[in-house]
Amino acid sequence: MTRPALVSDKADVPAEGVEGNGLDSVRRAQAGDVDAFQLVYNEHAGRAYALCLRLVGGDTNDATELLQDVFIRAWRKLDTFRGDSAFSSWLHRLAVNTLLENARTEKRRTARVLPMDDTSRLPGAARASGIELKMDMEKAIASLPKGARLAFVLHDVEGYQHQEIAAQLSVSVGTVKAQLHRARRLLRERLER
Amino acid sequence: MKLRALISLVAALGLATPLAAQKKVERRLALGMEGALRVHNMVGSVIIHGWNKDTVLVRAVLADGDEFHMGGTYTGAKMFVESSNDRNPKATRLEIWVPARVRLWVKTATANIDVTGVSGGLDLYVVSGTIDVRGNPRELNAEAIDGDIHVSGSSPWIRVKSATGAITFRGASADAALSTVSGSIKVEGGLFERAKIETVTGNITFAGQLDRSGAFDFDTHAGTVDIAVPDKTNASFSVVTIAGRIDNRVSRTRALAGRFGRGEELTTETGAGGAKVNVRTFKGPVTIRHSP
Amino acid sequence: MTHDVIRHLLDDYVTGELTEDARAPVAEHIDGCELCSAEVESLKEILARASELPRSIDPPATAWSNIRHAIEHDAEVLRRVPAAKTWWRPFTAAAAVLLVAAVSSSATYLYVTRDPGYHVLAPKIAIRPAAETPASLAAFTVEENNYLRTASILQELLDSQQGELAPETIAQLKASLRTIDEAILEARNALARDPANKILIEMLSASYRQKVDLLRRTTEMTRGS
Repeated sequence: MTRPALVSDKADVPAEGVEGNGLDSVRRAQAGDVDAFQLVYNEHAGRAYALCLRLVGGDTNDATELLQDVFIRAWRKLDTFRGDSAFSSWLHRLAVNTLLENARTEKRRTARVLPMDDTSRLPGAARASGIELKMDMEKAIASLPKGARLAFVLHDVEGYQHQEIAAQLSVSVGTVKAQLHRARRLLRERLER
Repeated sequence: MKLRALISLVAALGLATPLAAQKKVERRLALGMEGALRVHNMVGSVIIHGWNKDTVLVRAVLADGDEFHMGGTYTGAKMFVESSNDRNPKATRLEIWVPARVRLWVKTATANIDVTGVSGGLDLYVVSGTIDVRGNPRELNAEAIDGDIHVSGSSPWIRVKSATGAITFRGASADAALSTVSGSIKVEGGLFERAKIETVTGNITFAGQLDRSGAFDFDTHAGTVDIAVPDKTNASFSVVTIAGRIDNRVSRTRALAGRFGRGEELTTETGAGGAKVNVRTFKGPVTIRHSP
Repeated sequence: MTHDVIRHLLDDYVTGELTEDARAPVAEHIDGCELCSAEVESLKEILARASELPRSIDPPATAWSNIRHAIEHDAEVLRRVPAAKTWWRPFTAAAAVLLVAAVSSSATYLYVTRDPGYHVLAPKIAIRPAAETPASLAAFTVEENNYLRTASILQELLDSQQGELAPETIAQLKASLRTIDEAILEARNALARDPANKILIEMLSASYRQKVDLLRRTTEMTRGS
């Protein structure tokens, strides 16, 4: 039997000695233990927030709301996580689904274009080295039109395959490729300024 | 003896034997490779084979007077036996070939269920029949009240319950939960990542391999617990019994007396630790040893 | 291949998604075409920058408290009864429910009293006062409504001789219930002597859970599909 990838991404495995085995906390959370769920949050919120922030186009309020929605949904649907994929993959799929569903119900959630010189809206990015470069990149991604931005973030930042992205966004693989192509061209233009 | 007289004698004895009046039915139905199929058969047997066609083939042997029904669409189908006498249903033998990746749901009362070669999802329910599964379903849920359940094969997700029946599982699983009240549970073979095995008085024997990052729970009130691990296992054991005894044969650590001088507790490791094994009994004795 | 065709293949070339056959002519063209090699370079740079982005960004500190607040007050949490697929039920410190069980010959009734300071879990069924001093003030969560409801359903089922279960099965079932009841009684008595024993509390709760599960499964089996 091929072993299902319970913990496929090394980045998700807590270092030895860190409190609790990640999967152990998920199990306990599945049984109703809110404190265990907090451990799960602590372990996964950073990556989830980075994804949310980029998906919503850089607005921290929108990103925080999305993050909260995602974890609340994750809590409610924890029973459906069966450990046949890494927990972070499951969570990220949930994040994209939540984003898409929220977009359907709230029409005002249109892609917000950041003014190119507004640097105050991307906390955390400043922590990394090469500040100038990365802030430009985050802003540039945030300025992309929604379809292109989703495709770029999911494929080139998060590393999902074309087919996975097509399935999640309910579009064809061809559309995903076209959006990617568009995203990369636009980013080139905006970054070269 | 004349045939008629024989049949009457058999009928008088209340035996549902092949000599009693029977009819054979053969039916086919197109069903998608991952379609859903529901099967009801209260008494007799249900024998299922997975195959590579998008077709369901049924060969049924029914008692005279009973009717076999099957219908459905390419995505979902259902079959059942309509008995001529609901209060005393006769045995029906259903032999069914199904697309291997089917999502299969079978319910019987005393009919035995035997499934081979299905790689889809299995949901099997008997009251007092036996359940036999051979193969590697992607998901298995099997429940009996007083029937035995035997599984030979691997599945990422397994839930098996019986009350008085015995459970045997030979295979591997990423997530297995086995439970009985008084039936014994015997597990051997492959690699497990998560296992929860519980009984009230049934004896538990586990001789599988423990994945290093796995978590294993053994709970019983009064059953014996016998855990045999391969030599190079990396595991941490935490064993508590309120009123029983612990026999540790994997390390030099001795069990400590429990609270109030009753029962025992043991915490020990093999290899470099890793798999978390928790054993809790009220008074059932526990043995931890290396597999031969 | 002409430039017009190849410029559409540059994305796939850079991400390694071209077939072997296509790769060679594209690479050859790029070598001799300034436009395309400039495009390939900038594509590579975009992808490099994308992969250098921080994978993790700290969310605002208020996020967790909002989440926690929402799930603790979520009605669905209160109705979180075990599905057949949830097996692990540890105890949360939030509950303070007293459980005292008395075992009668054919059925078990739960006598429940409630700590007045506790609001969330409210038994909906009438409660008989405890027949003896409670064994301990334990903190654990049990599905007592579920238990009481299914216990009474099965009681009716067992009582009716026209039940769908064969007499042998009914006998086996009663035997199983008695087995569980005895285990409950033993654990309870032990708990009376050692009220702070968390492991005993867990065992007791596991026995209740198994009993509910058996009752539920049996009623489902006998129900027509």
